[in-house]
Amino acid sequence: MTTLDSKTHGLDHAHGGHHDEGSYLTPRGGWISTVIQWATTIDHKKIGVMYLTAILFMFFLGGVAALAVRFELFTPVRLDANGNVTGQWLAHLPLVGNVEGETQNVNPGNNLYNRAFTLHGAIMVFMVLVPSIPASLGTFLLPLMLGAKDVAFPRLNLLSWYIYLFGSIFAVLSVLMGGVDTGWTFYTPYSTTTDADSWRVVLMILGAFILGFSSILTGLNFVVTIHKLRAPGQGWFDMPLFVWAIYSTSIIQVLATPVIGITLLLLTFERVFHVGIFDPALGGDPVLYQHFFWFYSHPVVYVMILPAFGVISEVIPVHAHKKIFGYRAVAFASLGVAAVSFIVWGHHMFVSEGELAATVFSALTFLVAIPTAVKVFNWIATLYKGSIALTTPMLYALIFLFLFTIGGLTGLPLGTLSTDMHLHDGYFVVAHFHYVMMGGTIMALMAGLHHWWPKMFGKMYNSFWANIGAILVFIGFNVTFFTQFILGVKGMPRRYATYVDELTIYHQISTFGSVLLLIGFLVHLFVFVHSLVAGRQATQNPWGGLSLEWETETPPIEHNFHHEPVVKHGPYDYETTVPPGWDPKDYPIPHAARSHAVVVKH
Amino acid sequence: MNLTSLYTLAFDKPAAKLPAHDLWFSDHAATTAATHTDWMFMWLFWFCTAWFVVLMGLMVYFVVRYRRRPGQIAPYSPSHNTMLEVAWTVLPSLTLVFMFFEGFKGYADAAVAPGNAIEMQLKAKKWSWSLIYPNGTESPEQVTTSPAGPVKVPVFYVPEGTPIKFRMSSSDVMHSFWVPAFRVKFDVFPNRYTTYWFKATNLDTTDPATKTFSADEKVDPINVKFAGRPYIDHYIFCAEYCGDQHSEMAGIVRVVPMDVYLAKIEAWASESLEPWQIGERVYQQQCIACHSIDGKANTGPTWKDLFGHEVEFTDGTSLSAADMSDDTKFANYIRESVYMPSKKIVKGYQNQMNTFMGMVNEKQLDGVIAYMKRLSEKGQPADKK
Amino acid sequence: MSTIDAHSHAQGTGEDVKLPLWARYKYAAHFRSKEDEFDACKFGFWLFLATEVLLFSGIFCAYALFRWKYPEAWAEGSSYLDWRWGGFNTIVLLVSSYTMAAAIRNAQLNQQARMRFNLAFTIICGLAFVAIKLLFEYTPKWTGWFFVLDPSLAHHADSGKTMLGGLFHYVEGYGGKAPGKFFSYAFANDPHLPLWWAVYYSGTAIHALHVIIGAGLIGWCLKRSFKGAYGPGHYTMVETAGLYWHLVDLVWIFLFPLLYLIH
Repeated sequence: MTTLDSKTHGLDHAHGGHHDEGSYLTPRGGWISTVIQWATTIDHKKIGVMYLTAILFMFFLGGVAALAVRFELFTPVRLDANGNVTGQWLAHLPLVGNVEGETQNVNPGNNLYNRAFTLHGAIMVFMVLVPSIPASLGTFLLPLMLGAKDVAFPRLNLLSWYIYLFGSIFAVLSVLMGGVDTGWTFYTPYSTTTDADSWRVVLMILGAFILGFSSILTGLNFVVTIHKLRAPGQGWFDMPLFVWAIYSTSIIQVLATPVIGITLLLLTFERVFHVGIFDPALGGDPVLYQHFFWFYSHPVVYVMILPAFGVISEVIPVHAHKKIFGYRAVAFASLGVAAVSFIVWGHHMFVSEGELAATVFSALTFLVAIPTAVKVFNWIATLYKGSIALTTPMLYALIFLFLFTIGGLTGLPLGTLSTDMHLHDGYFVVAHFHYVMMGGTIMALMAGLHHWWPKMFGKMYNSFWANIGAILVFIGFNVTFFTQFILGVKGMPRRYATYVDELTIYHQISTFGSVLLLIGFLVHLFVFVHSLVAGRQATQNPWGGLSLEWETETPPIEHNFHHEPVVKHGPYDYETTVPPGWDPKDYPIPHAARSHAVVVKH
Repeated sequence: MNLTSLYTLAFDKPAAKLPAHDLWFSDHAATTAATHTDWMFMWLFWFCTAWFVVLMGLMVYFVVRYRRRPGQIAPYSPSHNTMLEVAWTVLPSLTLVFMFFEGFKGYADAAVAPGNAIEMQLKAKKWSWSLIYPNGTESPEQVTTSPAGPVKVPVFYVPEGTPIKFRMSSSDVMHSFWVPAFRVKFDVFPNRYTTYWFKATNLDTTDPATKTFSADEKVDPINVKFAGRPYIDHYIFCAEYCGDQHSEMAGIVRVVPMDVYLAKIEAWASESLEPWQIGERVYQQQCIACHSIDGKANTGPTWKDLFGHEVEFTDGTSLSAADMSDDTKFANYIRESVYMPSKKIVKGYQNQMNTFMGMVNEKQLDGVIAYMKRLSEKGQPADKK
Repeated sequence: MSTIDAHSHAQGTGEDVKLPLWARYKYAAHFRSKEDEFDACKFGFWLFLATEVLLFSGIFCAYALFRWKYPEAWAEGSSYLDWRWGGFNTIVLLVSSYTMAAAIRNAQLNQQARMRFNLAFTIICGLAFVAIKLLFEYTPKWTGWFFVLDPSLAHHADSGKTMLGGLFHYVEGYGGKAPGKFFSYAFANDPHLPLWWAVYYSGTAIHALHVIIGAGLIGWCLKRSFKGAYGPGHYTMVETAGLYWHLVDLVWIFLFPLLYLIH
């Protein structure tokens, strides 16, 4: 039951004559030339690994900012009997004093707190979540899954990576100069008037603008790759669902990102030249800014979550050795979500805009719930009568289902107009999007990372400790963020540096959870480093995947495949196909099913 | 001057804690519309909980029941079922339609004010709220929120059982007016008016949050008159991030019986104050966030010893001590600084202040000037009293 | 063996090196055929053009919203623009679009010299467009200095001030129509006039930036065309640069009537 033409079973070197084709990771020459090779590579796998490294580093930076926020909120800010401020954790940080040019003596803690949550938001959104799965796993896997040698425009791919780096440097520079306190949404007129004499805000905005280009070019590259470079025999509905998800994501990236581009550009004009398209002092309209901003930033949450759907749609079938339930429904749900995502931005302005707009956007918002719910049903139905291995990727996929279901369901009270008027701009929203973005995207990234780690680096990791890490992250996450739902309903506004006494206990539980999260991620860091240094060699197909990336060597050779693969089975045909690289004895397909396979031709 | 410690005790907050049995809301819905919102929220909560339990129950059951057994592969089972898939697409959609309409109903109640509502002007600025009543007065009452003293937030009196409509505007950036107990917030913009309405439900004397006025220790004739009458306090927060003291931009809305409300606003209207007292009130309501009166630098320069002392400006010009001691020149300088603050910036400060045109009237401005003189050692003994 | 470079890794090396570059070029190794590669490039570029359209759509939205809110400011602002300069620039761009299309045709027919001429002419048109915009439109409105004095401005007192031997004339009270806080035009009738200028300058400046980028792209094509890079069957770069140039042209076709013609 092979999946490739016998002549393309290129593991045998005698056939191919590709003796020089080692793993893409094999260094060639000394370390200097290796570094240069990596820096100038147009190999999508290397670029993917570089993205992954950068994104994990940014995740660490954003996480530090998040911890700063949580620690500041551990105790409310109060005056003691002597008139001294207590409960300001950030004000005691030795590294930053009052930012130059800032207000003096008001409340240094508030000022730093505002910078910390802005830093957290901007890094996590623009530098982690948006590129997370598409840029790292997507760049690495997309050509492999399509049986292609590379993405359509390899040099453009490298350019995207450098643009990402360049944009990140802008943002980091702005932080090193003292940070910005606008919030990651840069709402006008606050963002056009704060820190009036400094370039920090402009740098941060330009950073986000530049990152947008990286996103556009990556998306464009992926769309063309999927259209043009599928392996022979791979029709649209033979593609792994991860590819469908990346396809939908890329469309959003291409169509929505330019709008944030012009918005941030106009914002920069406004700050530098005081042209006032958004500034009411000059006749402009701050709500126009919000419309522009969310026209991009709402679809972009689907840029963050759709690839996560894709990862889960891979991990669940592979680790359950079970055909995905309702392939077409899942594929079309991705496209459906992408389409609907463009017409729901107004729900970010339920408490800013007129009644008619709010009503229309509320109705449209509920539409998003339908394809999303369908996906969850399909994933759970896929587990039915599977052969489920509780590996780390599967554990993370289940964690994803748990957290994302909460995240999705808590979207309902936010889409419902009357309850949203209470919950809007409060901690309920904060908790909701953390459940969706972190519980969704980041958990899926962890699932995908553990799933494809052996393929990417050729090493296995210690599953026991990885599972311990996953459980710690799961518990820590819920402790941190479920309390924030309660805080939101009780009346805790967003972006507050302090709070009323009754809420102290919830904030303290939440901070405690964030420490658990930190420990969980540190366990993972240890597991990854240990795997790279001392991990045991991975086999070609440790989990028994059927999509094309498991056909090639581990780690893949430079040109991905020794010969162009020809697709002869669907990516989830578990009842009829022995996973490539597996001994048929380990995967005993009943006779009936085998004959079944002859009838059902792909 | 430090404004951090807003929320500590001394608030005239109910001493009795609310019953802890309610996981979600820490106070009762305090308006007619809010009651529906609470019902809607709890309905959604149980709806979501039910779905969550079913989905997760299935997931856990499948994972345990169909765990991998060596030497066996998953048996064939259909990977597609049109009926099932259509059913689980359409049925949830129907409940979504219900949610939308119920939510819309509640929203329509909460967003559209009835025609007979009493209209008041709510003004927001970095970082305080002020409310102008129909008779043109503002509430001078403030509560200290910390035992250490300086932080005060305004107390707005509103009558129970009557629709009230706030016409809201901001003089600088965006804010959002939120009374959690009313379950409604709405954004406040610098370039347009937005409205916020509510009808506070009748004061419920069995509610531990409702308390009664006591005879104030200052023997305030107004409060003494109301001693024994019920009232209930609710927090006001700013829900749209607006800068450094976003988290200190709070207030209290105090629901009182109609007669108490009417007597209060009448009393404020007929109050006769010394000019410097008016100035002090303006200071506490509008200027305290950025200007100190104890000599410390803040966002803006301190008011202590401003009168009669030389100031230098960023454009190189200055006003001499003699100029600043001259009543007319000093008054002109202050007037310009209040109404056109960007004209002259004191050396060492940023151009951050917005104009207070329309927020500080002539009488109030005179009061501010008198108050500044009082704060200066160079001020006339007559100013000092 | 380490690269899949679209240009250096042409398959089938060892052919006659005397052939021009375009004739030797096969296709990048990760594509299956030359047609695939060409289609992919064109498809990718069309997607990119879609993003450009969306980029400008922000400006058009702002234009529409503020026009609807402040029609008087828009009428007044528009009356300061001279449709003749705008019209002339439109013609310049249309001509350049023609020469650009002709250059692609020349590439297909292997008319190297004509192609270079057309490319160069397109670039000159683009630069002329920007120069006209700067000299005849931006400069007088910002500073009051005219490159060539417009006789229709007789109602403004000519201050008699000149510069560079009479090349520039100064008209008292005409300048100051800059956006935002730099706006200092004393005779404005509408308080929202600065907003009009904000939209006008943002729109035309971002468009002018695109003209410059487009001219740069075409310049790069021109440089490579001297090495014989383009010819029948391999003119992807010229084609895509052309597509970009037509888009830039198209945006102007929308900007021109919106800003200059309708009041």
